[in-house]
Amino acid sequence: MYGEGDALGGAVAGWTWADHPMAPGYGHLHRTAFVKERVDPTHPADSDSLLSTDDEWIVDMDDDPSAAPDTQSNTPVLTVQQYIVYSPTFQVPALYFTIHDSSGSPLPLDRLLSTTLFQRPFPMTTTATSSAILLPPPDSSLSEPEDAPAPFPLLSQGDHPILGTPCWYFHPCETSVAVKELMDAREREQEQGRQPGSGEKLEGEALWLRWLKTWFAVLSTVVEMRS
Amino acid sequence: MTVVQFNPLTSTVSPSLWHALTKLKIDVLKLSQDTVPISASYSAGRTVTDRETGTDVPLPSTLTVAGEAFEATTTLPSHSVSALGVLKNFNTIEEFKAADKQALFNDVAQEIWNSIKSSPDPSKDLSRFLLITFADLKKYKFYYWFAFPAFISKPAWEIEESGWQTAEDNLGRGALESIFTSAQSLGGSSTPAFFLARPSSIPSEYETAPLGQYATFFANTAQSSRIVAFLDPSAHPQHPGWPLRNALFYISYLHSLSPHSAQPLRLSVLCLRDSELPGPEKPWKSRFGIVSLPLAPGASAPLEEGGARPAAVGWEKNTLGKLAPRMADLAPMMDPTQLADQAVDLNLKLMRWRILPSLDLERVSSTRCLLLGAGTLGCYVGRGLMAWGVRTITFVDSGRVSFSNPVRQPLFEFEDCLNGGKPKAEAAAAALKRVFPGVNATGHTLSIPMPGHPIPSSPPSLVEQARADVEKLEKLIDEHDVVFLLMDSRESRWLPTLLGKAKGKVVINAALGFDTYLVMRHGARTSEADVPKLGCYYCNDIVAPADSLTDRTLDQMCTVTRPGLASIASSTAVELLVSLLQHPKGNHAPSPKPSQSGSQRDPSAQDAGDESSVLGLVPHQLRGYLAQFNNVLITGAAYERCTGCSEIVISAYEKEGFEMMLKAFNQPGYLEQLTGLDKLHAEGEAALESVDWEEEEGEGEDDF
Repeated sequence: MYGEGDALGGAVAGWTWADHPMAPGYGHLHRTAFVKERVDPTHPADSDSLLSTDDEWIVDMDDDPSAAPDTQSNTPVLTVQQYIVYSPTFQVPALYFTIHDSSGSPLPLDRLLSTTLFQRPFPMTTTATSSAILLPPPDSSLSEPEDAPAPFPLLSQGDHPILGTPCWYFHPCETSVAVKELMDAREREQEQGRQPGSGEKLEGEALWLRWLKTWFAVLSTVVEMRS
Repeated sequence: MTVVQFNPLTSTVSPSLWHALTKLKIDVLKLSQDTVPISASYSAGRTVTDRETGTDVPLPSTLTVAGEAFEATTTLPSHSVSALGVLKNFNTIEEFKAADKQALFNDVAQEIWNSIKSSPDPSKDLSRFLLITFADLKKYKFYYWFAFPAFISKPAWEIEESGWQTAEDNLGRGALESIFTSAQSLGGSSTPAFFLARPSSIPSEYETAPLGQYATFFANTAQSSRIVAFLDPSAHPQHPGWPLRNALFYISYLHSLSPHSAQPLRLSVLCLRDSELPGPEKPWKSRFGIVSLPLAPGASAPLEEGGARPAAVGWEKNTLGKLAPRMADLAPMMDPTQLADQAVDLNLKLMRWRILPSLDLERVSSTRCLLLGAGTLGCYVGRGLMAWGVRTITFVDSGRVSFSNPVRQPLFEFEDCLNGGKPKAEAAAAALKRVFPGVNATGHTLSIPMPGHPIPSSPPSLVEQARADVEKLEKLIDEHDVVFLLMDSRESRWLPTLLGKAKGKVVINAALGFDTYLVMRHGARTSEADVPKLGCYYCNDIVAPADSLTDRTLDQMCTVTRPGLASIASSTAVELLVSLLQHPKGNHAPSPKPSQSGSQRDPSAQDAGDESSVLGLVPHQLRGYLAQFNNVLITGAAYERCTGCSEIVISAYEKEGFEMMLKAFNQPGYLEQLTGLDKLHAEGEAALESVDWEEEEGEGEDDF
């Protein structure tokens, strides 16, 4: 995977395998990533009225010359736990994730969508122009109607199939449709000689490898997949 | 020489910690406020590439605490080291605020100090921390405060002006590899939190040892060759991580006990920021610096063996930069009401993302709907609105739930009928809340006065009651955006028609026959030039609404309808409203022109022009014929003599208010007089009289 060009390198880096607690050999991939919000949050949590305190006895760290000044508080970082899980119903991998801030509070939907996890911020209220996120066609020079862009992969909430904890996930049926379209298009291009490769039908591990790379590419148009 | 500035540790809490704490409190602690051991971890500092600016931004140096914190033995995340701490949970916010935080902090500092003084290798205690918490389990909010005690070094450690540099430049890749591999075998499978390194007899190779062996390991090593290394959670180029502070303090303590205590102390520090050996083309991230403790006379006093615990700092600042506790709000994940709210919201958004990006869901959910009638139509309309995400739904009804209701009115159950029956309006609102707690549903039991049902003038309390009822209805209509007329009689719709038109509200009317139904929107009071105004329920009538209920038999009083009709009509009414709300002109949207091919409309044809909203047409009237499974779209013009919505009637209401209404209720013929319909009748009668009917010749008997 790392060998063939580094375009996907960032997307596939950093994943670790976690074995299923009860079924050996089954498991899922896990990675921790960090993102930020595009719009400054208003820190609702720490301005909770119950928290005002006038304790003066604590040594003020500003008087401690050996403590580095705080430069981080204006760019709070959010932790994203990403999981690649096999969906037995759809028989394809699915991307599950949770996102929370440093206090452990999970992000609500509107804040989630405005983080750098998503490739571009799209407005939550509608305007006259369409705000649908479309997948770009595999090669912009193609004009066949069957290569029309596939729609936005569905974002849903559900339980992690193995860990059982609540997660956001991209519905596998949508992503697998998009991957299939891209794979078919690439095959056609190879037959027509517009792309390198002999155009033979791939099988077995090579096919799955190509499938996974395409899957990463599909998700990357919506989600920042580089570590 | 500049003072070394350490990057303070910040906490990164995973939601699983709060779940684990909740469980611990409920199952184990209950009301106990004893301290509980907890564990956390930290790993090498990371940077994140800001994709927008292309720069590498260092992540704050954090201690990660997750759900496994309370377990005695856990597997550490890869490339991390553990830190041990204590947690003290308070049972009330007052106790949390009033707790003697200084004492708790000192207890942890004392543990570290004891370990420094007497443990052969204090490594595992140097990063001890304190966590105090208060868990509000009703609101799913967790108040907490971390402290990472670090002893203050007097004098402070200093570093050369050139500051911290890359380890690669100072030690070379070969040396770093040697140190790294040697350290890995020290810690078992991964790098330990602290260790020492010195050059070995083999050139450019290094040996490592645990921190506790400082005295013996460096016995014959010159200060300039001594390397103190630690896993550095900081990613800042010029600020090493907090754990180094206590490690250096430990070393200065050992130094003060050694025979060379009078000499200044100077060592090299390796801030290890690589979790694995970097590849051939990749640089090492680790940093290197030469730090020293200047000699100050008498400064070694606090560090004497057996001396009192030195002063320490380390409370974590909150996100506003203040020394204050923090709060985690887990309600979105744990509060069932919020979970329901989010799920409903997400469901509607899927419709927009997937199919109709220009759907304005906020416009629908913020529309306040008043439902006059909580019967068959009212119940189905209420549920339909809730399915669209409408959050404010108010019912008005004067009746109580009766035994025949629950089968046809889906918000009621058998229990609601007992003991005389619950008031329908309030029962319907309560039912909506049971389905979805996030809805703002209320019910008002109210009788709407009607023309043709005179209000007796004595006792005067009856008139006063009617006046109060009208006032209440006026207020309710003012407070909502849309009024649904869902009652079971013709005349009861008169008053709200008048009020809705006068106050410029959207009025949606639904009425049932046995197997036919009508759904319509009342026309707006104003319209654009050349656009004919649309009519109301009464615009096609030439008589005012009158008493249709008294002296009728039971089957004539209750509307007996085919049961499926109510849900069809109600759903149509709700969809008509939503389509109207999506139209930029709202209730001023034009009614669709009849299509070329008569009543059959091509369902896939999108009418150009401003007839359609993103959801489709916004018809004026829909009449449905269940026997034929057929719908007809109708446009009715406003009638200038309409008893319900004409300007004549509305002006009279606006001038005289309740007095005018009383006349409408009490005096038969008043409304006809007001609008001039009586003259129309007279003209009609006269015209009929004046027609010369042709008489047939003959006996005037029928021929068979």
